Amino acid sequence: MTGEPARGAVGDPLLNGGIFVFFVLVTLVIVFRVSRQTKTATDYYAAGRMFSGPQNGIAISGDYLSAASFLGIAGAIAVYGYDGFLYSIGFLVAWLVALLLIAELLRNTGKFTMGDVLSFRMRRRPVRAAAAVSTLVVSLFYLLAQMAGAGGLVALLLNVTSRQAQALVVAVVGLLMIFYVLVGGMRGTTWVQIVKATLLIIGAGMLTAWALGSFGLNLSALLGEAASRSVHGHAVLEPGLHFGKNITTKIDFVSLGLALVLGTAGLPHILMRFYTVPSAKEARRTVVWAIWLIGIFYLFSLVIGYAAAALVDGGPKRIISMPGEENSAAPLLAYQLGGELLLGFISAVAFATILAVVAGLTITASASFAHDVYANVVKHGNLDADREVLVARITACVIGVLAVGGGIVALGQNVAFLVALAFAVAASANLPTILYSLFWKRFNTTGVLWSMYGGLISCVVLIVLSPAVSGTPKSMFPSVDFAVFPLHNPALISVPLAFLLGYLGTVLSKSDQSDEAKFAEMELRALTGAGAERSLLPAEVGSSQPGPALTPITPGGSPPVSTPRGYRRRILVSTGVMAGVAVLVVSVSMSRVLASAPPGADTRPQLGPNIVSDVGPEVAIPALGGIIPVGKTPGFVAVSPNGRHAYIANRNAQVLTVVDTAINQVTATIPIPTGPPQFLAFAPDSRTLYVTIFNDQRTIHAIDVLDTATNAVIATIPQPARPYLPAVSRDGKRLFVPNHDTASLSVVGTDTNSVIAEIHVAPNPHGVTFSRDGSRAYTANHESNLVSVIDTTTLEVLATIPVGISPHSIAVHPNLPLVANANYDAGTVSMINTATDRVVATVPVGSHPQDITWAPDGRFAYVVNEASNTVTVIDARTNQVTATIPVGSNPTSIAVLPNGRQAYVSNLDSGTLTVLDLTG
Amino acid sequence: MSTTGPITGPITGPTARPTSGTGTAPPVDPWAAAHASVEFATLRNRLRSFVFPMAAFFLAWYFLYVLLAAFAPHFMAIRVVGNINVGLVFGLLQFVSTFAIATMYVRFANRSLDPVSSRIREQVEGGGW
Repeated sequence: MTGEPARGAVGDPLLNGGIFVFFVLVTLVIVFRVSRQTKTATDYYAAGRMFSGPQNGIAISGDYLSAASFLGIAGAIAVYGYDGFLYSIGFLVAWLVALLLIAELLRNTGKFTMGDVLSFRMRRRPVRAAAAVSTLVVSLFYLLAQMAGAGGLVALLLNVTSRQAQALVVAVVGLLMIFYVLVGGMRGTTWVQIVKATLLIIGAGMLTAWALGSFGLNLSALLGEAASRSVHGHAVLEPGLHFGKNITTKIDFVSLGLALVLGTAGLPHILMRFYTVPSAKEARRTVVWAIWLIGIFYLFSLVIGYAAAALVDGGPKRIISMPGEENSAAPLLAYQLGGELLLGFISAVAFATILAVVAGLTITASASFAHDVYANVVKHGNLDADREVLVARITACVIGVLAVGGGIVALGQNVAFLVALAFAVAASANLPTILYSLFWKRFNTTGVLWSMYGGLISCVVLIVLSPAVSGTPKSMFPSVDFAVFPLHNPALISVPLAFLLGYLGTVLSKSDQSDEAKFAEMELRALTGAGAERSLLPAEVGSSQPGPALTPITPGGSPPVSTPRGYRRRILVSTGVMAGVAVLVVSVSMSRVLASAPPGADTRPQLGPNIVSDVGPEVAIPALGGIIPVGKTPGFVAVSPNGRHAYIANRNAQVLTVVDTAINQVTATIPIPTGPPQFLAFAPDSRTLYVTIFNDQRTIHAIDVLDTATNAVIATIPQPARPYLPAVSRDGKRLFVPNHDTASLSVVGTDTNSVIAEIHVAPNPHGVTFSRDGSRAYTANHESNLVSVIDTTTLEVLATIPVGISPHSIAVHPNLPLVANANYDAGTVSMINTATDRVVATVPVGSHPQDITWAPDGRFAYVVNEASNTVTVIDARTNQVTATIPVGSNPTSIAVLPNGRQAYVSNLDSGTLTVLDLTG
Repeated sequence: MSTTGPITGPITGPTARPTSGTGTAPPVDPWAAAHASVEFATLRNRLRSFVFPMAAFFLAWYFLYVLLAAFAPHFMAIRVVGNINVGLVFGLLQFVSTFAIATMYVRFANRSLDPVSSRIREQVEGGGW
């Protein structure tokens, strides 16, 4: 391996990094400033309960709109279309559960954590312990997913591809998060959330306006363009692409819908935010603000997702090919619309999102441990508040270290299911118990424990037994299979189970009477707010409150001396400055793009290896799928562009055999009287097949034109020399034929079936292929060890690229600026970056590689080794050989179905096709 | 557990009033007394008769949408205007209904719940029970 193919970052990593650092500095200053007020437990856990509803609504949106929401939903819409939109609806409607049933009642009855509410009228220690276990599990799962996501994000945006460097980034994220939490407490993290949410919504709004603007504000036109650029056509505008495959995926989707709608109101880090406002009324305003902001944001995401599919160069295929896969949709759209600056801004927002969300999770988990477990379970409530905050801070450090360690281990693993798991646990373990304890008088301690542990354990066990963890190529452990539970999301089972267990636990435990007086008190407090925890600054935001007669004295005593107004003004100013910078960045980048890029200019950034989920997905080690006898001397196989048939040129037998790819059997044999058929090339319409013909004596050289509808030869085009592997241009109008013995290409007009031009290239052209956009042709020239690059408009040779010895076959990558060629005598494959026309990697393969082709999604290259009787599989991402598959005797060519599921290898001496099952 | 225990210690706030249980009167549980009042029963009934049916409605409406998306994709694919199909309209209606329910609840709570609940709260906190 001499290098890496073009891969990695979009935009300018330095610029992206600069904007990241700027954001980090601004938030650090904010956190440091507000930290002067973080003295007491109420300060640390609940920001002194001094945030207003709108402020907290913005902050809670910031907590909720994690990178999964921002990048994930837009990306899912870009790639899977409508099914990505379905997530956002579940995420939004869920807030009505919080608004109607949870927020105010929780705010009135609790103090800092979910455990406060659940243990109110129960036996405290076991219930608090259960609440803490559930909180820690949910928060840690969520944290791990965020940290692992940070690694992928920086790979995309900062061009950090090495594992060590990604681990370093995760560690830096962890350190920043610990700093925010330790120094700023809840107040600091809340301000970070407010800044981040403001920037996020402004950024998303600009992208949306810009994208809609480029379609004249016509959403229908935007949708139409997205559909026309998708391989699925209008199916991207309809449900079912992702979830509609079969009955299992449909039920899985319903299960996910249940987890989303019930999970949100059970997420501990969301619940804890309701304590940062002075009253239930402010909690109500919080949720209403959150509903509007989150709803509007998801409407933006809908436009951003489809706009990414419609506008990004290369469309959904390119998006999925980037290092961040579908997460790259929004950044790519930003790059497409606003160039490097807008990309840098959107990237910094995404990075900020991860930072802010991990900080919010950490403070929740540390509060739950210190307040529920340590102070109330271990110390029986006999712990002064200062010590408790100290414990919380130490816990935050421990959790930070755990999250960094876990995040580094999880780097590159598929841990996306952890977010779904966090929602499922929240919906099963937390929500049923919260609802029961708020609304059901008889509910008792046994019910709480059965419901919480039942929901938690059933969720985790079902996930472990699900395909998310084992049994499929996308699982966390793809190599083993203990997936006996068919659904990825357990909520459909675990949520009803948790409700049932809560009921049964209560009615079956006769001895465990619920405390009716306590329930009366709790209900009264919940509905009226009597005796509820007040703001530390009643004059500031709680002025409408009556005198806080029952307000417990804040441990730590004296009220804050300095007025927060000054700080707040400064923070508002800094938020404003950042928003201003954002606007400036967008305007400057807009003008730069408009000024510098003529319409249609290739502003394509560097590309990464790619994965397309709508074809394949191919696996690293294909399986042997069977052998099809096709008659003697099959020298070349071609698959029609529509994937229905494989045509095989049987050289000495002077016939073409036709294989129906649906049944993998020969369905026709077509005599070729002109001479021995050698190579085949289909027109894009799949109807016309060009057959090159020559004999060993070099007395015959011609091309037969076959109509595959009738399987009749409709024309014969004489050629000056032995015609090798030809190619039809993307528009179908021209056929380029390499003339092996005259060092030239014949250009054949397909309307008249006559040679209209000749191009001289280096000797001796073996194969030709066109670039994706059709502007270039590439020939592999055997004798000269060169690849020629030809301008297809002027028919001039633009460049010659030295490659390995005896280049035979050449293949253009489906969506990267990458061409691979097989070097017959060197036993290698050269990877050429077509942006620079240089070889960027040389991969050793088998002996005498004769033919090379790419998987339709570009994930793998397949090389046929004539002398080793094998097929080599190369991972485009790493340029490593992932498999060497034995095939028949003297294999000469390979063709892959457009759906990426099967490949056919012609075995010249065996008289067979080997079928490779590429999806494992 | 200062929220649940008996209130002790000095009282803060400019409008501090004597709390219950400090005098010589027989100890009355103010929570139970307030909880048994007609006013509180009214408050609870108002709240429950709004939020329970509304929660049932929006969950049913949401799951109708989820089930249609999963099991009736052809219905969702019917075009309404241009490239806008039933599924998109249905999805956007979920946004509209969410915004509408949130707005309705806030108006309801401000008008029908808050006056009652603050009256009860003031009485409880002021030792009225």
